[in-house]
Amino acid sequence: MPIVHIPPEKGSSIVVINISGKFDFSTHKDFRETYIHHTQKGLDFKVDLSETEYMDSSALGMLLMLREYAEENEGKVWIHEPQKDVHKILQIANFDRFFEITQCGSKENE
Amino acid sequence: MNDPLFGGVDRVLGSSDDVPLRLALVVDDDEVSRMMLKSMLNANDYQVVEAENGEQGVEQFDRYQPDIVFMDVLMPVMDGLEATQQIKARLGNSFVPVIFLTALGDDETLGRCVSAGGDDFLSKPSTPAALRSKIIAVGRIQRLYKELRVLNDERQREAEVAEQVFNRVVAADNVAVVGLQTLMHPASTFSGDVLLTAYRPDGDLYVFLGDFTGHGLVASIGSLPLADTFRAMAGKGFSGSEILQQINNKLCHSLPTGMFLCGCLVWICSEENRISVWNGGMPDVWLLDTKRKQVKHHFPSIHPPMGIQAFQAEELVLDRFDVEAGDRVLISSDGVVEARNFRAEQFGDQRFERAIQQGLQNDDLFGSVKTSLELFCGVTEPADDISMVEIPCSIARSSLPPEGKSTSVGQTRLSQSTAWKWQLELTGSALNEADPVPMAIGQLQDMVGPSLPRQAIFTVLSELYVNALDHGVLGLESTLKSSAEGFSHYYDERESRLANLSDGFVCIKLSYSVGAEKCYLEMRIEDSGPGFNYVNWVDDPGDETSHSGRGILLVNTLCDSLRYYSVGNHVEAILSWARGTNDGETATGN
Repeated sequence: MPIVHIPPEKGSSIVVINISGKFDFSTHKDFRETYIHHTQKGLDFKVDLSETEYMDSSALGMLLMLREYAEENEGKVWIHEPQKDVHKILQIANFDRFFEITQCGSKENE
Repeated sequence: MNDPLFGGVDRVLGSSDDVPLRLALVVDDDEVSRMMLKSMLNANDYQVVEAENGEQGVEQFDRYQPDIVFMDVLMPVMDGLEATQQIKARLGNSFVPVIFLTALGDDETLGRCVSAGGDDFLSKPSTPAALRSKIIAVGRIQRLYKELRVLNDERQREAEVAEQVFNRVVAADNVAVVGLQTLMHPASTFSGDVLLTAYRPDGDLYVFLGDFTGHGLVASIGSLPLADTFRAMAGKGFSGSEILQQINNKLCHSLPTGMFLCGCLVWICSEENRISVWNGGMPDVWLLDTKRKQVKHHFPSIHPPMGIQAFQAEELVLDRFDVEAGDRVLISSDGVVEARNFRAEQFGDQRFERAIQQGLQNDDLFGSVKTSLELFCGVTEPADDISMVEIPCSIARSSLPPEGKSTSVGQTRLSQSTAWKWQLELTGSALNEADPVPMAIGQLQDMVGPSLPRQAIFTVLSELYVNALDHGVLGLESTLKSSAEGFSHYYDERESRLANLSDGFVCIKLSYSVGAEKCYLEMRIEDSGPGFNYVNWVDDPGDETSHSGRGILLVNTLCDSLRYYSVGNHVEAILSWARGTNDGETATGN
C-alpha cells in the first residue's frame, strides 16, 4: 500500500498521510480516502513525503484539494521532508506559497 | 428454470418473449457428446447450433454469430485449434469466448489450446453444474468486455471532441512568426500543453507556453478561456502582467480545485531590444546568445502556477532583459527533461543542457535538442506531453508604422512607437444621435487599463468635441452665452440646429503610445466647420474674453500641448502620464 494513513492519536489533532513510492494520479482515490472521512473541525494534516520517490502535477493538484478540504474544516496542511527530486517539483511550482514545508525534526511534537 | 422453447437455430424466432435466447455453437465430431452438451445448454436458456468438425464450425460461426463456442480439440478435416484461430481472427474488438472440450490433465494440449485463443476448458464428459459455472464465469468476462468497449468508445469520442476544440480554437489562431520553431508532442490525443502566440498592435510578440494538469478532455477545459483571454488582450495591447492577471482570474473561476496551469510568458519588444519573461511553474526559460555561442540568462520559475489563487502584485512582475539580434529564447514543458527511454531513465537536465551547448556550437540550437531527445527516447512513447519552443529575439514588426507626424508635435514624442490608433467619425444626423466621448473613453479604458487618467481625458475630449460640434459644425457663437438669456437661447438654438443637421462631420482620432517612462495619448479632433482665428489665442492665451466659451484654458492646463491647425477646425491635444505598475515591468535583468 503506497499510502499509509495514521489517524490522530489521543490528544492530538494531526492526521499523518505517508506516501511511499509514486505519488501520481494512480494514488488519487487512496489519497482522497485518507482525509475525506475526517469531518471533525480543526484537524491538521501532515503529508509525509519522506518516502515519496516521484511526484507529478496531478499530485500537486491533489495536495491543493486536501488544502481546500482542510481549510474548510479550519485545519491546515503541511508537507514533511520531501526528498530532493520531489522538493524540486514543489519548488518549481512555488508551492511553498501554499504549504509550509518542514524538514526532519521540526513539527514532530505538535 | 424454464424448458427451452425449442432447440432450433433461428435467433429471432427464439425470442418469443422479450428476453432473447443466447446462442451457443457446439463443435464436436462425436454426436453423443454434442447431444449431451446441447441438452444441458438448452436447460440453461441457450439455443444451440452444431458442427461436426472445425471447418463446419467456422462456417456455422460465420452464419450464426454465436455468443459462445464449445470446441472439441481433435476432429477430422480441421481440428479445434485451427478452427479457434480462424474464429478469433474474425472477432477484432468484440469478445466471443471459446471453451475447449478436453480431458483435463494433459498440460501440453491445454497450453496449445490457450495459444490458439481458447478462453477456458470444460472436461469431457461434463456435468450440468460444471457447465453452469463456466457459463456464469465466462458471462462475467463478456460483460466486462462490453463495459470496457462502451467506456473506450466514450473516451475516444471525448478525445476527438477535445482535439477538435483545441485545433479550432486554440492552435488555429496562432500567428505565424518567422524564425519560431516548435516541437509539440502530445502524450494523448489532446495534450495538456498549450502554445499561444499573438502580436500586440505595436508589433511586440507574446509567446505563451502552458502546461495544464492532466490530459485529454480534462486538460482542454481551461484552454478555451486561456486562449480567448490571451488573444483578446494581446490584440488590444494590454501589458504582460495585465494579461497574466486576467488569465489567472479566469482560471481561478473556471478550473476545479486541483487543476491548474503552469506557464511562461515571453514578451519580445520589437523596437527596444528587450524581452520580458514571466515563469510560473515551468522549467527554466533559457536566453541564448547564438553569436557568442553562450548561455546569456536563465529565467527560473519564481511564481506559482495559474488557476490556484489570485496573484499578489509582486507575482505579476515580469523579469526584463536586454537582448541583441542573434539572441534566442528557449522554453520547454517538463515533459522534455522528464522524457524516458526504454530503460525508464530520464532525459534529465544534464543531457538537455549538453544538447543546448552542442546546438550553440553547431548553430542549430533547436535541431540539436530535438535530435538528442529523439535519439534518447527512441521508439518509447512519451508518458507526458513534450513541448519546446525557440523564439528569435529580433522580430519583424507586424503592424503599420506610425503615421508621419507634423513637426509641431513635441520632439520627445517622435521616438515613441504608436501602440494603437482609434478613430471615429460622426456625420450628419449621427451627430445628434451619438455621443462619441464615452465610446472613446470606454475604448481607452479597455486598451490602456487602470493607469488611464480618465477624468482628465474625459474633460479634454468633451471640451474639444463640444467645441467642434457647437462652434464648428453648428456654427454657434460662444458670445451668445455671455448673458442668462443668451444661455437659454444658445441651447434652444443648439437643439434645433442639431435636429435639422444633415451634413457636416466631427472626427476623433486617438493614438496611444508608450515611452520609456510615460504613456502618451494624442487626441485629434477635426470638424467640417469654418474654423476660427486661433493665431491670436496662441499669441496671447491669457486673453480670455474672446475664447473663454471654448473652455480652452482648462484644456490647455490639463494637456502637455494643445495646437490648432489649418483654419482652426483641426485641434490636437497631447496628454501624458507616468507609466503605472500596470505596464507590468520592473527592470530586474541586465
